[in-house]
Amino acid sequence: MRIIPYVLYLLLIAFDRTILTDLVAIGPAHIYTAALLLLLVAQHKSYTAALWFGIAAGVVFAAPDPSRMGIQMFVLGFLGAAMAQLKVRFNLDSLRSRFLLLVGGLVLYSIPHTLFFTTAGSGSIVFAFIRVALPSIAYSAFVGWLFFMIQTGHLSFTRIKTLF
Amino acid sequence: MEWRVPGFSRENRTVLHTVLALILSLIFFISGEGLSGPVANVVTTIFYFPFHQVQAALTRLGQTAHDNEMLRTRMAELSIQLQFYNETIEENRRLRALLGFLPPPGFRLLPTEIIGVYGSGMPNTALINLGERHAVRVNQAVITRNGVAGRIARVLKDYSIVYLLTEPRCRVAVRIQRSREQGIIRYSLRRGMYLDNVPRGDDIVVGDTVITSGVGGIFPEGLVVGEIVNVVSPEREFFFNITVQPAVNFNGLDELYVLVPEG
Repeated sequence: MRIIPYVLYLLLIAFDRTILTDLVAIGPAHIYTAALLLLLVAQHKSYTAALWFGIAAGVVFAAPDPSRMGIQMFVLGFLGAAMAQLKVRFNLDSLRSRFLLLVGGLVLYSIPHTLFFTTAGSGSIVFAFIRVALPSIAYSAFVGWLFFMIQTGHLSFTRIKTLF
Repeated sequence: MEWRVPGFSRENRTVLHTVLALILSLIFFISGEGLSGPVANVVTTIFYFPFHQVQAALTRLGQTAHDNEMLRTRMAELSIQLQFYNETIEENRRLRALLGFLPPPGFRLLPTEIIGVYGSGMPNTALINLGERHAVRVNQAVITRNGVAGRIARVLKDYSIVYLLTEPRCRVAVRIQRSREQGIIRYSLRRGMYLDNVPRGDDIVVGDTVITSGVGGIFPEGLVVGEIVNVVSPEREFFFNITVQPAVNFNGLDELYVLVPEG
């Protein structure tokens, strides 16, 4: 039964790849759903769980394009392992530390993602990073942070209501 | 989620998992689609298939909405076209009937449009779009395909006023088609259209057709005026009381023709 949440996360990745990604995209900025879910697992679960979930996420993420499955497995597995290692060096009770971990994880994901999956020349890699990756990091960080704030109770309907 | 490997310390297990994950990634990377292809098939079937179905359904729904909108617009266009065609069919029917509709000898037909009909209750006057410029003159007969409608009462340059048979001042000399008995068609609001001046004893029965007699010089002989629907023979009176059903429906006039003498 402990595997069910991971299966649901993987289904969410497939849902994002199929329907959600274009619906929630703002111009070139997409939400890095796979990376966000991996960060969630890495923050709350063990190193091995994060590592193997990263591998599984890579397999599911790359299923529509099997030629890149190995790289996706490596990138997401590496991200899961790195985040699981890094989280012990951060004070996760601090909002700032959590935010740094979130943004760091998204940057760590987007760099190889841009490097490996930008098919044109090296000039376009820089362009793709500025034009696509940076807005996507910002957008994903905002969504991830919003989720975290709601999850921890820092943001709730009652709190929002008190503002008005 | 913790996968424990017996006989390994925690540190070693971490290294072992990392190495296994790395090797697995490398195998997939090196093998290309040879290995990842079948795996992708399985993963697609399990994880992607439901969403592909949803996506296809959403696409179909969007397409259906688009088609629906397009069909509504097309239906409105076709509805307007249909109304136009129906009107054309009706006009065609009238024109076909007109082909077999010949004026009496010595006359030609001038088709005219009705600009307006006037009268309280039953229409008794009509304004038509032919006038002096079209050789229309006072007292010329005005007919429809069904029979006599009235006569020209006044002529302007481009318009004329027609007294219909329902105008009390419009009287027509007629005869019974079958028995050749003669009389005068009159109209009053109280009695409707009636045949006057027919002495008792003349041969008149319900159903007889009333036609113009040609007497008086306004209406040529032989135009249908109506049909006898009631014949009463009052005791101490000299004439019959005869009610006539006009051949023309004065409430539904659509086309009129002026009979203009040839030459």
